[in-house]
Amino acid sequence: MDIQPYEKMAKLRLDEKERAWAEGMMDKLSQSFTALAEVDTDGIAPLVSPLDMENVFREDIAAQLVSRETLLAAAPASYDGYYEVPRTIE
Amino acid sequence: MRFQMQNCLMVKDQICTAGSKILEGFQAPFSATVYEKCVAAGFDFAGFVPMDEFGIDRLWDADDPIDAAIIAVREGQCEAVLCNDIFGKLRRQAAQNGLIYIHPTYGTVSRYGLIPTVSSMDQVGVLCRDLKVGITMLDVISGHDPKDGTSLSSVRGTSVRGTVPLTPQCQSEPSPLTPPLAQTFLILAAAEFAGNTSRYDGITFGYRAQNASSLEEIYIRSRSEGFGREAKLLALLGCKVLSQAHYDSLYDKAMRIRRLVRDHYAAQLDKVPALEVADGAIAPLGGFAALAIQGKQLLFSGNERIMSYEV
Repeated sequence: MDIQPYEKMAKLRLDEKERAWAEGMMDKLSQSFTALAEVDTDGIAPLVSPLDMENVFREDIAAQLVSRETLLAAAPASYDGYYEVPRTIE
Repeated sequence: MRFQMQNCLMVKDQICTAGSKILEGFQAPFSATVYEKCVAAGFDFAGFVPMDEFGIDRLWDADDPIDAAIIAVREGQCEAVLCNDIFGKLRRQAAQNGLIYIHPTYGTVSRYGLIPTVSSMDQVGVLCRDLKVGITMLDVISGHDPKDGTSLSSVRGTSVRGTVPLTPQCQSEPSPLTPPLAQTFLILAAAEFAGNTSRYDGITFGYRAQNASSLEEIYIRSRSEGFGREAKLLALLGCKVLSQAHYDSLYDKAMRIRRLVRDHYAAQLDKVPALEVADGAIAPLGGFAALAIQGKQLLFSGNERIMSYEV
């Protein structure tokens, strides 16, 4: 299986050795997934969460759990209160 | 009580990496609710135990080295370790090492401050040697947390009043539940893993590749250098099962099978009158024979690895 389309989606670039392994694994796993087709799921709705929960609302009051400074301090590079990245406009 | 945590639970200002280079140097901006509850209860935090990358390292290897959390409890470094055992490795190794892993019902324990991996299955559990210690710990960490949207609004008392086999017929008659559980689990886990790990972009926190010339190169190189082999495979698999060509036959199908599984277990629980007085259920946790107890070997059916000791 050519996994390069999925590499593009996942924003990953595997080296040759990793890719050979991953392709073999994806082939093997995909084959095992054919078993799903044998299960009759007609009329069964998808279950997204194990809990039947309704959306929880709270009072519309702004809360700041973490400060801007704390979050920026965790960034690999920041400048003047912003995240720093390479030039994005040519 | 002396407790430790896997390094996927945050303690303010301490490094939290979930075992991944992609989170190299990440200093937690706040503490996990479970940590704060333990400290408030007077428990003694004895540090982090290292973990496999997001708990998935060597998922597909026959070679399955013993987990650091298991060693910590087995060797008496602490009485309990708080863990996130998505893939069942800790439950299995706990049983094989004479320890107990309590996997609480989803929503019982707050996940605020837990590095998200597979959101619909992430749940903080307790690894311990003594069940009383585990229940004490569970009592402290469970309960509603407004900071976690999936936290149950009311959690029952967690004292264990009784236990019953979840599938009492597992030896005498075959379980009517036959879907390919391992595949269903993997498809759902991969999809959610791909989503959760998309946040690691080399920009806002964690690892950034050096000398990348563009934004796109930062994303690709940071992620390619930061994730291990298994994490990459799981993310790729997640992209595949969520892609237009495979969404219906894999991801959507797996979600429908998940409902069949849940309904099956709900029906089983309804059938067992003892559950009226029980808070917990004991179920098979792997396709292997349990350790012999006084010469008698307990055998479990093979395909129900997604359930174990639930409180």
